[in-house]
Amino acid sequence: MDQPKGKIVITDFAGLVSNRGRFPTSHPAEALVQTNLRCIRPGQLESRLGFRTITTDAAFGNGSTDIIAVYFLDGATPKLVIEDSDGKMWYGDNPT
Amino acid sequence: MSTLHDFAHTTYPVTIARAQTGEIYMHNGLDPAQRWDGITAATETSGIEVPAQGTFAAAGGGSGSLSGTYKVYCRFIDNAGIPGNFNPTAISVTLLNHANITYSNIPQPVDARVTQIQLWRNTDGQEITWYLDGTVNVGTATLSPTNTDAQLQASTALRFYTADGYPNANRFGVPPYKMKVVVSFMDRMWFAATTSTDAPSSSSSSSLQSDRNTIMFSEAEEPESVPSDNELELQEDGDQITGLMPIGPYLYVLKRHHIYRLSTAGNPRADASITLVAERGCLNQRCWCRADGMSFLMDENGMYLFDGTSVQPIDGPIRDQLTDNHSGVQWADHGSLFSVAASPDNETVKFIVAMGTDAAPQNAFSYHYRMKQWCLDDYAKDIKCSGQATIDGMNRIVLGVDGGLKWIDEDDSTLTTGLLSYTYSLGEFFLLELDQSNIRRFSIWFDPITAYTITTVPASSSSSSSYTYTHTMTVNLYYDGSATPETAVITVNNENNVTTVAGAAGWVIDLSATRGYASFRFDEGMDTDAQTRRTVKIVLTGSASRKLCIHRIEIDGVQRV
Repeated sequence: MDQPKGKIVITDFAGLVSNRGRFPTSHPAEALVQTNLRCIRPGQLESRLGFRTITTDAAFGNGSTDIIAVYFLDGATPKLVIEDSDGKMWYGDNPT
Repeated sequence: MSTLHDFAHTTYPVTIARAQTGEIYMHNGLDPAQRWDGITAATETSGIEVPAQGTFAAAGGGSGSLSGTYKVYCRFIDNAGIPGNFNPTAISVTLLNHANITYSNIPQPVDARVTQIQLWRNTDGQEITWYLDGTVNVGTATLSPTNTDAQLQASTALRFYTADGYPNANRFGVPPYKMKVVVSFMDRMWFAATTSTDAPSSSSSSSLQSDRNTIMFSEAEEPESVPSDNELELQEDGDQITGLMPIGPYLYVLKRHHIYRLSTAGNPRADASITLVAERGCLNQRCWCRADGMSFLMDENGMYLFDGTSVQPIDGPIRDQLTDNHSGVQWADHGSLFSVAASPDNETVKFIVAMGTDAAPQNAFSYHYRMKQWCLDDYAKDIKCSGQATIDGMNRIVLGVDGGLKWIDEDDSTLTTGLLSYTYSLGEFFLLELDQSNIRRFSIWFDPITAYTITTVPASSSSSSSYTYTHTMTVNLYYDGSATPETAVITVNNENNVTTVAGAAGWVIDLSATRGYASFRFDEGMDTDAQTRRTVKIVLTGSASRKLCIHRIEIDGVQRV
């Protein structure tokens, strides 16, 4: 769509484009950089949301170890199987 | 949560697969594989051990009608009736008018999973079919059955080989725990990606290296029966298997730089067909996912879409960011920790990678596959794994981060993870000459974010403090390729929802304003060098823990580069 001379109107937001553009700048790799903002609906640029801690039926690892593998068993009663960084395998019901 | 098992090694995260029979199997490529029925409080070792030969012996006893030359094997079974293979060598006994056979020193198991020991004997003159001569509980080392051949033939029978010549009595081989990838496909479990190739060269042998092209598979509907003959060898192409991807009737064998398609009509030993279909690969078993009928993969060359026969690179727009020597993706150093996860509800696939100097993945290239657009997620936390789950009707991505599991891209109502920093570069523009009919103005339309109160407890204090947080966004202007954002000339206090401070960088927009509109001029009066500028790069930055939504931006007095 033609835009008025001397005016840029942005209603469709481009996604991340890190490639070098035609116009050389001192930061050519940043032709268009986008962090933590997303375009998942036309005409809208929005911030992604954050983390929400998963609630399980009881604590595991007391938050002191990393989780290095996760597996869900879908079904009427979902179950969760995880491995922590100590090699321990855990399971629990009803992650929410 | 309850503890299921404690693996000794954590070099490789476990691969978990569910068999058609319902059990869960876990392989990490170093420790004995584990099985879990989803009910018991702990896992068990996958597969039943082979009895040690030891001093297992048989002899005739008493007077009766038993005469002939016999051979006897024993094998272990668990409480579900899952058996193992026979002991290595049959013991022999010759009877002449004896009343019974006395078995002594019956081998005992090491694995607590085994509950009973079965004794299998042939009938005189043949070794094709073996019959169950007796069963003892673990701990019992002797048995004296009195079965004649006729009575034995009425007992449970077991052919040593099938009629086609395949192993039958010894088809219960233990699943190969040296293979770190396990998947379920066509009623069988399949194993690949041996860890033997990771052995130091000084201790490796030719047999170890050859495993890198090997796939093994279980018997149909017997996930723990993996005879050594159930093995397929892919061609040596200088590559090694990194994963398996079952899709419909095909099992795709993923190597670092190749993809092979394996198909079978039901008996892989006889009819498996393996075809090279693509010369792209996969970093590891966690670097592929499926979404809306498409397969998304990541190898050392980037991200791509795979339709089963051909590949379509999708990372064109972000190649610079992938390959930058300093801030790009660290494929070689941390690729084993990378993963890929899909959220079909958001039509998004996340390629989770380590960038720059990060020692673990802290970023995700997020690809919206309907709009074909990328954005970069910066998590500021180590992400060691990812997964997908359908919970409460929603298909969600879950990440394993420092000390716990997190749903991703959801409202963090507790603010435990702090504010989310964002950046958006609108790109570079040419500035138009300023004259009486031309001004330079930035305007933005957004959804106002309600100000809210949060409570924090500083690390240095035991008392909490509350304050009302107001969301703001800073618009930075970089003139003529400068790496330093322009500073404001004058102080402006919330005019059109914009604030500037003389000498400070950026125009600060109040996103918590009652009106979802803000604008400011960046020509005369705001910029003493306005007449000499030629280009401007405009970058939006800020942080938020509530959803920010921008609908429209207008920039007057510029044109596209």
